[in-house]
Amino acid sequence: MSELIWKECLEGVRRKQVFAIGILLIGFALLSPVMMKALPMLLESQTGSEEIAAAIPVNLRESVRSFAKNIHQIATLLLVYLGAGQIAYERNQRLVFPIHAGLNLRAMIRAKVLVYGGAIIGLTMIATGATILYGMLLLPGSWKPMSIIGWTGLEIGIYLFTAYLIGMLASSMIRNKVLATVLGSLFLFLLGGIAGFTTFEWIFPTYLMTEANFLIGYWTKPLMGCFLMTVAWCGLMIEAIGWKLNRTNITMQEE
Amino acid sequence: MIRVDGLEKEFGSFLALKGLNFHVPKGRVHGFLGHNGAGKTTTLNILAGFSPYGKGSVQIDGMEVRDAKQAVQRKIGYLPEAPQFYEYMRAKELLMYLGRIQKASKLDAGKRAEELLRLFGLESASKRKVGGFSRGMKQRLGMACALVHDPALLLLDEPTSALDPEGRREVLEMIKKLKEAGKTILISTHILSDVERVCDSVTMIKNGTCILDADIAALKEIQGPAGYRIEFVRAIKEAELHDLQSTACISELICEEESCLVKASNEDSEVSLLLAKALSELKIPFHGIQRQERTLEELYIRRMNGYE
Repeated sequence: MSELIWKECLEGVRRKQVFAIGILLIGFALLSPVMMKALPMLLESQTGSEEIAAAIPVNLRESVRSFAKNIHQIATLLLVYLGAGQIAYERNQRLVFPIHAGLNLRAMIRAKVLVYGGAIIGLTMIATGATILYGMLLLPGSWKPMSIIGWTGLEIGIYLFTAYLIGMLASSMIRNKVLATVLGSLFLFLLGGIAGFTTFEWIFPTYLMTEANFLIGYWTKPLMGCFLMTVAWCGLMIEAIGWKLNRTNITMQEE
Repeated sequence: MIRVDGLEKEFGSFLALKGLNFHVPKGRVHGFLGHNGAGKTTTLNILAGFSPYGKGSVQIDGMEVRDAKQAVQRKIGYLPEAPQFYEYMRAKELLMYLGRIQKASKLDAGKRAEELLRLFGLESASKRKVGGFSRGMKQRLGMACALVHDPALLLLDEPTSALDPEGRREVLEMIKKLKEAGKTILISTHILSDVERVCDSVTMIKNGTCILDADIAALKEIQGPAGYRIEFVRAIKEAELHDLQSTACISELICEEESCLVKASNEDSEVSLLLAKALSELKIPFHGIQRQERTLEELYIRRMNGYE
């Protein structure tokens, strides 16, 4: 397993995937408080009305909400693409030599999950911390939500990790990585839609983003249930990706 | 080492392999020939355990591929036509990674990687990233990767097709060395001169079926006497040469626009003289007549075009 983890770390660093995730998340994190601070001024200059500008709440909580919303919309899509791209890259004949040398495909998937899952969750927590701390410097209010950093970061991080896994799963079934990204993203957003209409919203990973918007810095029963369900979903997806790849002709070039 | 009996493979409603049969004994270098789309790569993918198959039996070292996929794969080294690598890795890193996958210690994997880099003349490039390698270097690295786990059988899909003459020569030399080391090698290729240089036996397939399976040495005997190529001044039709066929020394004529391959019925040294005389009598202008040695290419064309 150590050689597989080493390979994934090397791939993440040399293909600059980890940097790309970091820059994306930290970029959003630092931009959110700045945009929040500038929003009233922008609105006033555009509409000429001080009342409209004054009606917009400018505080740290809103800034963090804006960060979570941006992440939900854009980072999700990019992480589905990252997952889809990684499987497409592997199955595009690159597994021929490793498989003959004795590679276990399930172990390879687990190594990817460990390395990229750790990177996604860790970087999301750092980004969430950055947006909150930077927001505290820029925006008014005496709110000190240090405990929220960990919780909100973890919730968003696990959700993004799920998006990454959905990308991998879609790509294990569809050879074209762009199509896999589109279908994976559609599936995820559809899941969010379905979750919103059910009384068991917490069984879907999308509930993590709903909880993240509440900025609660402690366990709740639905949150704990959602964490456990998401772990179960992820476990199932990891096994499904390994199972599907074992039955895929990996000697064919990507379409 | 390889035994394929009645192999069938379907892609939807298209039957790509229609009861393919051939076998390759241990320690042999075997050529696998056929047009594009004849089913060569499909067969190689099945042998390598990457593609499922329908009817028939495919055995590697006595093991049925569909029943013992992983055990079979450990016995095989497979070089695809255009091998893909982790371009961000350095050559030695890649070989060490493959070695470590098969549970070798870091030290042993490093030694094996160095040994293979030396064998394939890549020591000086061991610290270079694979993404920057030339096509020839990638081909040699691909062979090194296929050999990391010291497999008994090597499957090479068009190993020389995209190489320059120097690169081709190097790869063929390498194949000879591997044969001396006791490896069984199956080469799928279009380059018939390569097959003549390194192969002991050959299988030709057409539309998913085997049309020839024989030793190279025996083939030359099968083909009979040498042929003669006549270069005409203008394009010629086979009907114009009808009277030529009645000449005693000719057993067969194959016309290709301005040239014609004449198969002599015996090794008579007078054949070209007789041909020149007959053409003059028929008033058919020609540039020359050249004796052609029996080549695999000739046999290939004849078989593929249904002349035999």
